[in-house]
Amino acid sequence: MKSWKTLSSKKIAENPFWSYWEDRFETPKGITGTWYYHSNNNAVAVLLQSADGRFVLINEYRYLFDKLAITPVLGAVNAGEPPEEAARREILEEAGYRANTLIDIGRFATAPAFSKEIFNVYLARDLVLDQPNREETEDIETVIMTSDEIEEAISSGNIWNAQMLSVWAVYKSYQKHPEL
Amino acid sequence: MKPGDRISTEVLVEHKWHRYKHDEYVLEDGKTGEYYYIDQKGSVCIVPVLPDGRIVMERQFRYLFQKDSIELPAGGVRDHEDLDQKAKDELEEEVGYRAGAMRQVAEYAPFNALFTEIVHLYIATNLAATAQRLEETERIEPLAFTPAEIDDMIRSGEIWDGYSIAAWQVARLHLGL
Repeated sequence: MKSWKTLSSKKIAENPFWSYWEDRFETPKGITGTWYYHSNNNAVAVLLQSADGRFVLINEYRYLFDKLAITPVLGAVNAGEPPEEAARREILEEAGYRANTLIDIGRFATAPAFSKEIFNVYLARDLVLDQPNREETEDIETVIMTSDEIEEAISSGNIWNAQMLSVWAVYKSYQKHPEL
Repeated sequence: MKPGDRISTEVLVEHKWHRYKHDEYVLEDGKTGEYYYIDQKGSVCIVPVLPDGRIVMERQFRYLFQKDSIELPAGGVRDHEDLDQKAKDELEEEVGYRAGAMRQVAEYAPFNALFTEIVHLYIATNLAATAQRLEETERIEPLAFTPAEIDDMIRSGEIWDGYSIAAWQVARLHLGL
Protein backbone atom coordinates (compact mmCIF):
# COMPACT_ATOMS: atom_id res chain seq x y z
CA MET A 1 0.00 0.00 0.00
CA LYS A 2 1.14 3.52 -0.76
CA SER A 3 1.84 5.93 2.07
CA TRP A 4 -0.34 8.89 2.91
CA LYS A 5 1.20 12.31 2.49
CA THR A 6 1.41 14.68 5.47
CA LEU A 7 0.36 18.13 4.27
CA SER A 8 0.92 19.86 7.60
CA SER A 9 1.66 18.84 11.16
CA LYS A 10 1.17 21.05 14.17
CA LYS A 11 1.29 20.66 17.93
CA ILE A 12 -1.99 22.11 19.17
CA ALA A 13 -1.39 21.49 22.87
CA GLU A 14 1.33 20.36 25.18
CA ASN A 15 1.24 19.36 28.85
CA PRO A 16 3.98 18.08 31.16
CA PHE A 17 3.30 14.48 30.10
CA TRP A 18 2.50 14.41 26.40
CA SER A 19 1.63 16.51 23.37
CA TYR A 20 -1.48 16.68 21.20
CA TRP A 21 -1.11 17.03 17.44
CA GLU A 22 -3.19 17.85 14.39
CA ASP A 23 -2.04 16.69 10.95
CA ARG A 24 -3.58 17.40 7.58
CA PHE A 25 -3.11 14.37 5.33
CA GLU A 26 -3.73 13.28 1.74
CA THR A 27 -4.39 9.65 0.77
CA PRO A 28 -2.98 8.10 -2.44
CA LYS A 29 -6.44 8.68 -3.98
CA GLY A 30 -6.13 12.40 -3.26
CA ILE A 31 -8.58 12.55 -0.36
CA THR A 32 -7.57 14.98 2.36
CA GLY A 33 -8.47 14.96 6.01
CA THR A 34 -7.42 15.81 9.55
CA TRP A 35 -5.86 13.41 12.02
CA TYR A 36 -5.69 14.18 15.76
CA TYR A 37 -3.26 12.20 17.88
CA HIS A 38 -1.22 11.80 21.03
CA SER A 39 2.54 11.78 21.08
CA ASN A 40 4.95 11.07 23.93
CA ASN A 41 8.15 9.19 24.51
CA ASN A 42 7.97 5.48 23.87
CA ALA A 43 7.26 3.16 26.74
CA VAL A 44 8.33 -0.10 28.31
CA ALA A 45 6.24 -2.83 29.87
CA VAL A 46 7.91 -5.42 32.05
CA LEU A 47 6.39 -8.69 33.21
CA LEU A 48 8.20 -9.81 36.36
CA GLN A 49 8.34 -13.55 36.98
CA SER A 50 9.63 -14.90 40.28
CA ALA A 51 11.55 -18.15 40.71
CA ASP A 52 8.36 -20.09 41.58
CA GLY A 53 6.79 -19.10 38.24
CA ARG A 54 4.36 -16.55 39.67
CA PHE A 55 4.15 -12.99 38.36
CA VAL A 56 4.78 -9.80 40.29
CA LEU A 57 2.25 -7.22 39.12
CA ILE A 58 1.34 -3.70 40.11
CA ASN A 59 -2.00 -2.62 41.53
CA GLU A 60 -2.20 1.00 40.51
CA TYR A 61 -4.92 3.63 40.98
CA ARG A 62 -6.20 4.96 37.64
CA TYR A 63 -7.67 8.42 38.00
CA LEU A 64 -9.84 8.38 34.85
CA PHE A 65 -11.70 5.29 36.00
CA ASP A 66 -11.40 5.93 39.75
CA LYS A 67 -10.31 2.38 40.50
CA LEU A 68 -7.29 0.12 40.78
CA ALA A 69 -5.83 -1.64 37.77
CA ILE A 70 -3.60 -4.71 37.77
CA THR A 71 -0.75 -4.01 35.38
CA PRO A 72 2.74 -5.12 34.52
CA VAL A 73 5.43 -2.56 35.33
CA LEU A 74 4.84 0.27 32.85
CA GLY A 75 6.87 3.39 32.26
CA ALA A 76 8.13 5.93 29.79
CA VAL A 77 11.51 5.74 28.12
CA ASN A 78 13.42 8.96 28.79
CA ALA A 79 14.93 10.84 25.84
CA GLY A 80 18.13 9.11 24.79
CA GLU A 81 17.63 6.22 27.21
CA PRO A 82 17.94 2.68 25.81
CA PRO A 83 14.60 0.83 26.39
CA GLU A 84 16.32 -1.93 28.33
CA GLU A 85 17.74 0.62 30.75
CA ALA A 86 14.28 2.17 31.14
CA ALA A 87 12.89 -1.29 31.91
CA ARG A 88 15.49 -1.84 34.66
CA ARG A 89 14.85 1.63 36.11
CA GLU A 90 11.07 1.17 36.12
CA ILE A 91 11.09 -2.24 37.80
CA LEU A 92 13.20 -0.79 40.57
CA GLU A 93 11.06 2.36 40.91
CA GLU A 94 7.66 0.71 40.64
CA ALA A 95 8.09 -2.77 42.05
CA GLY A 96 11.31 -2.50 44.04
CA TYR A 97 13.18 -5.28 42.23
CA ARG A 98 16.38 -5.72 40.30
CA ALA A 99 16.35 -8.36 37.53
CA ASN A 100 19.39 -10.43 36.65
CA THR A 101 17.67 -11.63 33.46
CA LEU A 102 15.76 -9.32 31.14
CA ILE A 103 14.36 -10.81 27.92
CA ASP A 104 12.99 -8.70 25.04
CA ILE A 105 9.74 -10.55 24.14
CA GLY A 106 8.08 -8.18 21.68
CA ARG A 107 6.45 -4.84 21.05
CA PHE A 108 3.13 -3.24 20.21
CA ALA A 109 1.60 0.17 19.60
CA THR A 110 -0.95 0.99 22.30
CA ALA A 111 -3.56 2.55 19.99
CA PRO A 112 -2.27 3.01 16.42
CA ALA A 113 -5.22 5.16 15.40
CA PHE A 114 -4.72 7.78 18.12
CA SER A 115 -1.22 7.51 19.52
CA LYS A 116 2.35 7.14 18.35
CA GLU A 117 3.25 5.33 21.57
CA ILE A 118 5.12 2.02 21.22
CA PHE A 119 5.63 -0.38 24.08
CA ASN A 120 8.74 -2.54 24.22
CA VAL A 121 7.83 -5.63 26.24
CA TYR A 122 10.27 -7.42 28.54
CA LEU A 123 10.16 -10.51 30.72
CA ALA A 124 12.24 -10.07 33.88
CA ARG A 125 13.50 -13.12 35.76
CA ASP A 126 16.05 -13.87 38.50
CA LEU A 127 14.61 -11.09 40.62
CA VAL A 128 16.28 -9.58 43.66
CA LEU A 129 14.18 -7.45 46.02
CA ASP A 130 15.53 -3.94 46.54
CA GLN A 131 14.11 -0.80 48.16
CA PRO A 132 11.38 0.80 46.09
CA ASN A 133 12.05 4.35 45.02
CA ARG A 134 8.65 5.54 43.83
CA GLU A 135 7.38 8.71 42.26
CA GLU A 136 5.25 11.09 44.31
CA THR A 137 1.98 10.78 42.40
CA GLU A 138 2.17 7.04 41.99
CA ASP A 139 0.07 5.16 44.49
CA ILE A 140 1.35 1.67 43.94
CA GLU A 141 1.26 -1.73 45.55
CA THR A 142 2.47 -5.05 44.17
CA VAL A 143 0.39 -8.22 43.80
CA ILE A 144 1.64 -11.72 43.07
CA MET A 145 -0.43 -13.94 40.80
CA THR A 146 -0.12 -17.32 39.10
CA SER A 147 -0.69 -17.71 35.36
CA ASP A 148 -4.11 -19.30 36.05
CA GLU A 149 -5.10 -16.46 38.37
CA ILE A 150 -4.17 -13.90 35.70
CA GLU A 151 -6.28 -15.68 33.09
CA GLU A 152 -9.23 -15.96 35.49
CA ALA A 153 -8.93 -12.24 36.21
CA ILE A 154 -8.96 -11.52 32.46
CA SER A 155 -12.07 -13.69 31.94
CA SER A 156 -13.90 -12.12 34.89
CA GLY A 157 -13.00 -8.57 33.93
CA ASN A 158 -10.90 -7.91 37.05
CA ILE A 159 -8.03 -7.25 34.68
CA TRP A 160 -9.52 -4.45 32.62
CA ASN A 161 -6.63 -2.47 31.13
CA ALA A 162 -5.44 -3.24 27.65
CA GLN A 163 -1.72 -2.90 28.35
CA MET A 164 -1.91 -5.85 30.75
CA LEU A 165 -3.97 -7.81 28.21
CA SER A 166 -1.54 -7.06 25.38
CA VAL A 167 1.52 -7.84 27.47
CA TRP A 168 -0.06 -11.13 28.52
CA ALA A 169 -0.77 -12.02 24.87
CA VAL A 170 2.82 -11.16 23.95
CA TYR A 171 4.08 -13.32 26.83
CA LYS A 172 1.85 -16.25 25.77
CA SER A 173 3.13 -16.02 22.20
CA TYR A 174 6.71 -15.87 23.52
CA GLN A 175 6.05 -18.91 25.70
CA LYS A 176 4.94 -20.94 22.64
CA HIS A 177 8.08 -20.05 20.69
CA PRO A 178 10.81 -18.74 23.02
CA GLU A 179 13.43 -19.81 20.45
CA LEU A 180 12.33 -17.25 17.86
CA MET B 1 -12.32 15.95 49.58
CA LYS B 2 -10.60 12.58 49.40
CA PRO B 3 -7.74 11.37 47.18
CA GLY B 4 -8.85 10.91 43.58
CA ASP B 5 -11.66 13.51 43.86
CA ARG B 6 -11.93 15.97 41.00
CA ILE B 7 -11.32 19.62 41.88
CA SER B 8 -11.90 21.08 38.42
CA THR B 9 -12.30 20.02 34.80
CA GLU B 10 -11.96 22.00 31.57
CA VAL B 11 -12.26 21.14 27.88
CA LEU B 12 -9.18 22.46 26.07
CA VAL B 13 -9.94 21.20 22.55
CA GLU B 14 -13.17 19.74 21.19
CA HIS B 15 -14.00 18.26 17.80
CA LYS B 16 -16.21 15.49 16.44
CA TRP B 17 -13.90 12.63 17.42
CA HIS B 18 -13.09 13.43 21.05
CA ARG B 19 -12.36 16.10 23.67
CA TYR B 20 -8.92 16.99 25.07
CA LYS B 21 -9.40 17.81 28.75
CA HIS B 22 -7.52 18.97 31.82
CA ASP B 23 -8.56 18.07 35.36
CA GLU B 24 -7.18 19.00 38.74
CA TYR B 25 -7.65 16.33 41.41
CA VAL B 26 -6.68 15.46 44.97
CA LEU B 27 -3.49 13.43 45.39
CA GLU B 28 -2.88 10.86 48.13
CA ASP B 29 -0.98 13.46 50.22
CA GLY B 30 -3.72 16.11 49.79
CA LYS B 31 -1.82 18.13 47.18
CA THR B 32 -3.34 19.02 43.81
CA GLY B 33 -2.53 16.78 40.84
CA GLU B 34 -2.86 17.64 37.15
CA TYR B 35 -4.37 15.27 34.60
CA TYR B 36 -4.53 15.73 30.83
CA TYR B 37 -6.59 13.21 28.87
CA ILE B 38 -8.85 12.41 25.95
CA ASP B 39 -12.54 11.98 26.63
CA GLN B 40 -14.59 9.87 24.22
CA LYS B 41 -17.54 7.55 24.43
CA GLY B 42 -15.89 4.29 23.49
CA SER B 43 -15.56 1.74 20.75
CA VAL B 44 -16.72 -1.67 19.61
CA CYS B 45 -14.34 -4.45 18.61
CA ILE B 46 -15.50 -7.65 16.97
CA VAL B 47 -13.85 -11.08 16.90
CA PRO B 48 -15.53 -12.83 13.95
CA VAL B 49 -15.16 -16.63 14.09
CA LEU B 50 -15.58 -18.58 10.83
CA PRO B 51 -17.11 -22.12 10.85
CA ASP B 52 -13.60 -23.60 10.41
CA GLY B 53 -12.37 -21.74 13.51
CA ARG B 54 -10.36 -19.09 11.69
CA ILE B 55 -10.66 -15.50 12.85
CA VAL B 56 -11.50 -12.72 10.40
CA MET B 57 -9.07 -9.83 10.58
CA GLU B 58 -8.24 -6.92 8.29
CA ARG B 59 -5.19 -5.26 6.86
CA GLN B 60 -5.23 -1.49 6.79
CA PHE B 61 -2.77 1.37 6.53
CA ARG B 62 -1.95 3.21 9.77
CA TYR B 63 -1.16 6.83 9.03
CA LEU B 64 0.70 7.56 12.28
CA PHE B 65 3.15 4.72 11.64
CA GLN B 66 3.12 4.90 7.81
CA LYS B 67 2.70 1.16 7.51
CA ASP B 68 0.13 -1.63 7.28
CA SER B 69 -1.41 -3.15 10.34
CA ILE B 70 -3.35 -6.40 10.76
CA GLU B 71 -6.26 -5.75 13.11
CA LEU B 72 -9.65 -6.92 14.27
CA PRO B 73 -12.68 -5.03 12.97
CA ALA B 74 -13.46 -2.11 15.29
CA GLY B 75 -14.86 1.37 15.34
CA GLY B 76 -15.50 4.37 17.53
CA VAL B 77 -18.97 4.91 18.94
CA ARG B 78 -20.64 8.33 18.82
CA ASP B 79 -22.90 9.52 21.63
CA HIS B 80 -26.18 8.65 19.90
CA GLU B 81 -25.13 5.24 18.57
CA ASP B 82 -26.30 1.86 19.85
CA LEU B 83 -23.45 -0.52 20.69
CA ASP B 84 -24.93 -3.76 19.35
CA GLN B 85 -25.97 -2.08 16.11
CA LYS B 86 -22.56 -0.42 15.79
CA ALA B 87 -20.81 -3.77 16.18
CA LYS B 88 -22.99 -5.30 13.45
CA ASP B 89 -22.38 -2.34 11.16
CA GLU B 90 -18.60 -2.38 11.63
CA LEU B 91 -18.44 -6.12 10.94
CA GLU B 92 -20.29 -5.72 7.68
CA GLU B 93 -18.75 -2.42 6.57
CA GLU B 94 -15.12 -3.31 7.29
CA VAL B 95 -14.84 -7.00 6.44
CA GLY B 96 -18.12 -7.86 4.69
CA TYR B 97 -19.82 -10.31 7.02
CA ARG B 98 -23.18 -10.55 8.72
CA ALA B 99 -23.28 -12.53 11.98
CA GLY B 100 -26.08 -14.98 12.82
CA ALA B 101 -25.03 -14.67 16.45
CA MET B 102 -23.20 -11.89 18.19
CA ARG B 103 -22.54 -11.56 21.91
CA GLN B 104 -20.74 -8.97 23.97
CA VAL B 105 -18.18 -10.78 26.11
CA ALA B 106 -16.17 -8.04 27.81
CA GLU B 107 -15.59 -4.37 28.47
CA TYR B 108 -12.16 -2.94 29.22
CA ALA B 109 -10.08 0.20 28.82
CA PRO B 110 -7.78 0.29 25.78
CA PHE B 111 -5.58 3.12 27.15
CA ASN B 112 -6.56 3.76 30.74
CA ALA B 113 -3.95 6.39 31.54
CA LEU B 114 -5.02 8.69 28.75
CA PHE B 115 -8.43 7.85 27.28
CA THR B 116 -11.79 7.50 28.99
CA GLU B 117 -12.67 5.09 26.17
CA ILE B 118 -14.16 1.68 26.94
CA VAL B 119 -13.93 -1.16 24.41
CA HIS B 120 -17.06 -3.27 24.08
CA LEU B 121 -15.79 -6.61 22.81
CA TYR B 122 -18.05 -8.89 20.75
CA ILE B 123 -17.66 -12.44 19.47
CA ALA B 124 -19.49 -12.96 16.18
CA THR B 125 -20.38 -16.43 14.85
CA ASN B 126 -22.60 -18.00 12.14
CA LEU B 127 -21.04 -15.64 9.65
CA ALA B 128 -22.52 -15.04 6.20
CA ALA B 129 -20.44 -13.21 3.61
CA THR B 130 -21.97 -10.01 2.21
CA ALA B 131 -19.92 -7.05 0.94
CA GLN B 132 -17.72 -4.39 2.48
CA ARG B 133 -18.96 -0.78 2.62
CA LEU B 134 -15.89 1.36 3.12
CA GLU B 135 -15.59 5.03 3.91
CA GLU B 136 -13.77 7.32 1.51
CA THR B 137 -10.40 7.16 3.30
CA GLU B 138 -10.59 3.44 4.14
CA ARG B 139 -8.74 0.73 2.24
CA ILE B 140 -9.30 -2.49 4.11
CA GLU B 141 -8.35 -5.99 3.04
CA PRO B 142 -10.21 -8.78 4.89
CA LEU B 143 -8.04 -11.73 5.95
CA ALA B 144 -8.56 -14.89 8.01
CA PHE B 145 -6.11 -16.62 10.33
CA THR B 146 -6.12 -19.62 12.63
CA PRO B 147 -5.63 -18.85 16.34
CA ALA B 148 -2.12 -20.37 16.12
CA GLU B 149 -1.26 -18.09 13.20
CA ILE B 150 -2.42 -15.06 15.18
CA ASP B 151 -0.17 -16.03 18.10
CA ASP B 152 2.76 -16.49 15.70
CA MET B 153 2.14 -13.08 14.14
CA ILE B 154 2.08 -11.44 17.58
CA ARG B 155 5.38 -13.17 18.30
CA SER B 156 6.93 -12.05 15.00
CA GLY B 157 5.63 -8.48 15.32
CA GLU B 158 3.52 -8.76 12.15
CA ILE B 159 0.52 -8.02 14.36
CA TRP B 160 1.58 -4.92 16.31
CA ASP B 161 -1.73 -3.18 17.08
CA GLY B 162 -2.08 -3.28 20.87
CA TYR B 163 -5.82 -2.66 20.63
CA SER B 164 -6.31 -5.89 18.62
CA ILE B 165 -3.76 -7.87 20.65
CA ALA B 166 -5.62 -7.01 23.86
CA ALA B 167 -8.94 -7.95 22.27
CA TRP B 168 -7.53 -11.25 21.04
CA GLN B 169 -6.28 -12.10 24.55
CA VAL B 170 -9.73 -11.58 26.06
CA ALA B 171 -11.59 -13.33 23.23
CA ARG B 172 -9.26 -16.32 23.27
CA LEU B 173 -10.17 -17.08 26.87
CA HIS B 174 -13.90 -16.66 26.16
CA LEU B 175 -13.54 -19.02 23.19
CA GLY B 176 -11.73 -21.55 25.36
CA LEU B 177 -8.52 -21.26 23.31
